[in-house]
Amino acid sequence: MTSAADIVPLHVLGTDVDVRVTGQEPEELARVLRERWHLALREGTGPAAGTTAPPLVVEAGVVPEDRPEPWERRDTVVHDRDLPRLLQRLTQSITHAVITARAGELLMLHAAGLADPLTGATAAFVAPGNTGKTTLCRALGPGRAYVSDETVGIGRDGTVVPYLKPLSTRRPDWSGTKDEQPPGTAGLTAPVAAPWLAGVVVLRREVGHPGPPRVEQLDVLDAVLALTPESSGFMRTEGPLRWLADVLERTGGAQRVVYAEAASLEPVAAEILGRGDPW
Amino acid sequence: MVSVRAVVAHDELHRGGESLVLVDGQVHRVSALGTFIREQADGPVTLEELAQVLETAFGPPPEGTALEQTRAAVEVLLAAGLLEAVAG
Repeated sequence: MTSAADIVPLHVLGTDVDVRVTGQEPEELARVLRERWHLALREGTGPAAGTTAPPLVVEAGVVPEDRPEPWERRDTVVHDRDLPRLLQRLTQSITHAVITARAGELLMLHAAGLADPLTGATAAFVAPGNTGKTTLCRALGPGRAYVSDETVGIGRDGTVVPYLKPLSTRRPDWSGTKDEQPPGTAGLTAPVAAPWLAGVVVLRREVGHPGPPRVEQLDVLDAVLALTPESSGFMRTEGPLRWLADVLERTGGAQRVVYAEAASLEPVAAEILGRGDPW
Repeated sequence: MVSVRAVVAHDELHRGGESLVLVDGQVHRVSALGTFIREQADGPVTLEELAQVLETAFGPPPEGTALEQTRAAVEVLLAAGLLEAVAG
């Protein structure tokens, strides 16, 4: 029997997710999860406003030792003896579950998202993993609304569905595990104004890039070609190429930006977040 | 006689005569010539028929014959999985 105390109720990418906490010291793990996922917590254990689908269930537990579980291995069950590794794997499991659940309904880009706190204008900074999305959120997010450091979901009407996950931050010793940190500790807050997509940036970080960012406007075919490897659920989406092209053409097309330091992207973010609503 | 026809795509995006074609989870950027060939090959069509349509549309090629140029373009599209060979 599972009690409400064993459930950490989340609402991510427009989807309810119940994390069922098991294993050793479940109360402590639940406390840690509530701390790290504080921007994504649902009030109570009932459905979030406007949600009718039953919650996805992901199980997480700290276990005494790592044991192979050949008969039980499921993407939605995460057991680990190491807490930081468990938290990272849980984030990955939740991400996989919600992306799979929303495939076909949302255009999902592997991107950092930041929004204007008053208008909801949102910039999606698209980049592969480990190439600067979380760093960008830390550098440019305070004073703005945090949308995601992982996946930006876009509805057909241009609304942006936040994924307010912990910041997945590379550890100084780079042990292979990222720290899952509460966004609030980096000064990040959830959107208040409903987010809508104002612009898309294809990021390319080059460590030695000199001077200010180099900004290049992409034609729509190049932009779609650049963005498709960083999208999710494309083959389960109706007309994904035309949908993405429509999004880009409404929002002024995509820019490719080559940069070295995230702080240097401030003018790019400010310009996009100052745009009017094209939807 | 061997004919070719366009492989049915999950989605296509056309701009300025060129296109992106999503087939088997992969997006291909297709030139104006390749896009035109795929449009003409919505049903089985022979190389000779394609070459004639292309020459009518664009005039004779600057090098080689229309049939040679068409065969080269078709081979590229076949290799990319954007056309398929069919009997008949």
